[in-house]
Amino acid sequence: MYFAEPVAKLIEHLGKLPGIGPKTAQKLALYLLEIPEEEARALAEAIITARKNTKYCSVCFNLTDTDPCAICQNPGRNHRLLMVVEEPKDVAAMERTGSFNGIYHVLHGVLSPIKGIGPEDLKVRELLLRLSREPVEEIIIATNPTVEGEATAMYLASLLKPLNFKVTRIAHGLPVGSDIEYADELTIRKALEGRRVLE
Amino acid sequence: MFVDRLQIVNFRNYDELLVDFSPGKILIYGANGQGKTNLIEAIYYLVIGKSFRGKDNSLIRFGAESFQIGAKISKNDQKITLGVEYSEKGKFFLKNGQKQKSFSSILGNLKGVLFTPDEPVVFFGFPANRRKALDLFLAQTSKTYLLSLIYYQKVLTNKNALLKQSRDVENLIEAWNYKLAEFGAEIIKEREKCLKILNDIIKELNAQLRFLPGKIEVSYKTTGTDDKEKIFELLKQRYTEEKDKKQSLFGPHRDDLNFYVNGRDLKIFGSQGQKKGALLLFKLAQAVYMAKISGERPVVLLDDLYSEFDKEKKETLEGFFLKYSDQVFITATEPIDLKNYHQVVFIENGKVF
Ligand SMILES: Nc1ncnc2c1ncn2[C@@H]1O[C@H](COP(=O)(O)OP(=O)(O)OP(=O)(O)O)[C@@H](O)[C@H]1O
Ligand SMILES: [Mg+2]
Ligand SMILES: [Zn+2]
Repeated sequence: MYFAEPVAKLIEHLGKLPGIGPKTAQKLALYLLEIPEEEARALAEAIITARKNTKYCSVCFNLTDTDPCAICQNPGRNHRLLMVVEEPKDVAAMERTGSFNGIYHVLHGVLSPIKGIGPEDLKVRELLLRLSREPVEEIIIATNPTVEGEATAMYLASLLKPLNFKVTRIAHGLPVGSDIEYADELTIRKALEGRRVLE
Repeated sequence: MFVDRLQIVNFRNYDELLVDFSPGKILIYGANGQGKTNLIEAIYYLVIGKSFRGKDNSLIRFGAESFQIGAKISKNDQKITLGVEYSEKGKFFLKNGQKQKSFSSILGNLKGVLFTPDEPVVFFGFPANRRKALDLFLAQTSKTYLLSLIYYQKVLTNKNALLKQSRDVENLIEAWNYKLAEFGAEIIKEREKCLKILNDIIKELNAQLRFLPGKIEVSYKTTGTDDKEKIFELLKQRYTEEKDKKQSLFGPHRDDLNFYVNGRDLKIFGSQGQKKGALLLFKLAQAVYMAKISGERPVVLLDDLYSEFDKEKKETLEGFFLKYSDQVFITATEPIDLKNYHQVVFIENGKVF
């Protein structure tokens, strides 16, 4: 099908989004052309504002509009309990459950030799650095229960154990191979209760 | 369980086929090259998620663009449908009309045991072929085994990628070794347990069938142990060796199973007939295991058994298989002893009569 140059360009950009195939991109583009102009403008502006005003927290590396982020700044949270997660979306999933009152550290990925991702590509050095100056006592490693997530947890445990932290792994109740993002609140809460100490 | 109905489209020399099967002994006969093995191949495809003899793109009927296989399975009083569709774009499986993420989520729904005349040569060749045969059987009977295998493989590829890096990775490899030991020990434990049982069944069957004169023995030979702590230690000690060779040298992916007659290794000293006999006993034992231990009688597929054995041996064998399965497919070029079968199917040029 032929589209005028600007439309084709819109389709191309939409098609780059995760989970959007060429067909959906086309459908979305045609939809966007139908909506009132103000709405289209509001969407475009929302994207730009969000981009401009969000960054990674320099302490925990979660997405935030203030630095440090609201969680890191909150004295009501338990700063002795730190949860290590893979991605900002995992923080969001955990926060939705409302069952965790500690602070976070976002790794931005997991170890994956086949993809060439090593510790230097993750926020591991940053984790060790902040642990040396923050009052953290217990670290919960909540990487996803995938093979890569498990290996990353083991690796972190091998770094943290000798430093005399209590290191636990979120476990049980989570279906193996699933992402925390998709687990429902009850399973996450159960998983938190059942966390085990990593040897 | 048994295959109630088979429906195939553009698979090998079949354009469209719909055929209903009865439980019991089914004879599929027709001249050479008419499509008997192709039919067996289609049924077994739903057992292992792929062809036992060809790449997916060679299975599409000449000139067509995709193939489909669908089957209605009866187990106890339950009916399920399984299906696969393959085209250049990809392949997907269905269970009861629902698209599956991968074949592993439906593996074990249709349990099957296959014997083909080419198999003994392959089976008694490389150790990898014996491991594969054992894994295909065990994965059908145990979901946890299947998961352990999948995870083990993932960890292994990652560890091998690490070993290939030019820098020293000793501090990084530990995490992967730990997981490798965990899944590896599970795999070894299950293989040892299962082979012990199969060994007992094979001995008993041989005593009754007298396929192989002498004392037959199957055993599992491992490069690891079934203790994860010990594997972990072993892997730690052998780091330099593995780093030099740039690959993982110990664990279930290096293991083997051996058949002995009177203490002699069949793959080295066995005659063709002995190998054939041993493999058939192994297959028969799998059917017994499925029926008695995992509690689901498999579908048995025997391709070209006529050319393998004399009439008497063949009938005893078929009878034994029927004792432990609900449906036995037997292919032959001639319609012999028709009254022996519950259903007879004649095949000519990709058409069933
Ligand atoms: N992709 C394909 N498309 C069409 N025909 C195919 C395809 N692949 C194989 N064939 C045909 O299928 C036939 C072989 O079928 P099959 O192996 O089932 O024979 P068979 O009945 O088992 O014969 P035999 O008794 O010799 O073992 C051959 O004629 C071959 O040309
Ligand atoms: Mg054939
Ligand atoms: Zn923060």
